[in-house]
Amino acid sequence: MSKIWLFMIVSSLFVLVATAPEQALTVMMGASANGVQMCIEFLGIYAIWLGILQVLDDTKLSHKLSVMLKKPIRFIFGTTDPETEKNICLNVSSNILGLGSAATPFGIKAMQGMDKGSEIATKSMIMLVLINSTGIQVLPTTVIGLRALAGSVAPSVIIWPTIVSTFVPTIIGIVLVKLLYRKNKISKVNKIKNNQNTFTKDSNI
Amino acid sequence: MADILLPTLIACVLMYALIKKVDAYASFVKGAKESIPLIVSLLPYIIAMFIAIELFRTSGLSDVLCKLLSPLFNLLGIPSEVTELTIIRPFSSNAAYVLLKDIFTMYGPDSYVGKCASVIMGSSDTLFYVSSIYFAATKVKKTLFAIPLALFCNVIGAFLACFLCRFI
Repeated sequence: MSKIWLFMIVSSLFVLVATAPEQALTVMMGASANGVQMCIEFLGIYAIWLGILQVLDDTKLSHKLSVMLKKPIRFIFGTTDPETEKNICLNVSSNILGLGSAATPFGIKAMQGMDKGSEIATKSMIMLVLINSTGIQVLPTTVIGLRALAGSVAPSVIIWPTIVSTFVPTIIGIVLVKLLYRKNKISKVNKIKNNQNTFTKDSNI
Repeated sequence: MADILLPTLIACVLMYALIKKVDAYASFVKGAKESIPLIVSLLPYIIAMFIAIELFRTSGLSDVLCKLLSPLFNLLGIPSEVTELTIIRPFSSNAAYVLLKDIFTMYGPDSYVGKCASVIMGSSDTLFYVSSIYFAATKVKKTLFAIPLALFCNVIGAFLACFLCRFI
């Protein structure tokens, strides 16, 4: 993530300095202000959903939901604690219903539940990020609305291709995470260990 | 659909709380309070991401990237007209919606390109935004292969979208 970010900023700044230097700072400040504005909007949205979530928790409804969906979630994400399982449930179900804004706070809570303080992403974290970025969705309501607005004769004709082209990559992704994770993690851990070894050697000298 | 579903769900939950004699108001306030520290911790990450995306677009580098990737996408059967959408989609939902509307006005929503664009839009999400704020909530520094893999899945999705649209 940090590499991509650095690359985007540095290369863009170089190009802007060469072509339109007066724009660079304006763009940065505008973008930052937009970010703040978006956060304020999100604060409102998150407050509603986290509020409802607390009601769900206190009525033990969310507990029932996660008991129902426990098996598939355990299978995909590996065993986690019931609290995280519940948040994953809510995250995935709001995604499927096309409620992206509700999915994010649940997803973040699930991520926090999976966090054991390690610097390396766990398999279940990668799984959750993957599922959220392939955007499993059954009803692409916004797109259908936009098509209708643009004067389409059949706005909802795209539903089944959308379902197929969201679920197939998601399943491929889930399989790949399961296959790739072990190998990748071991090599990363070894790398970090090696780095630490060289570091301690250096400091001895 | 979502218009009816959501308010009904919320009303049902609140009714259920009433039946179960749970103080829904107190619970709601308690839960909503959590959103403040959450958003405060996410704010710097969102700003960082916004700055990078805006700079990348204003500098014209995103256009360059589109031109570079276009032949590769053509090989997969993704038409050049929707290449830009496929590339912008993981970065910014709003920018992608603007592009989608442009495609609709230019080619019409019922054209092949219009359908492809609709499916691509509906079948993927803002990957960079999702991964930056999801990992921001944890102590993780090494995201391993999370982003490359998600990008790969998005390309498969776009390929499938363009393939399936030939039949509708």
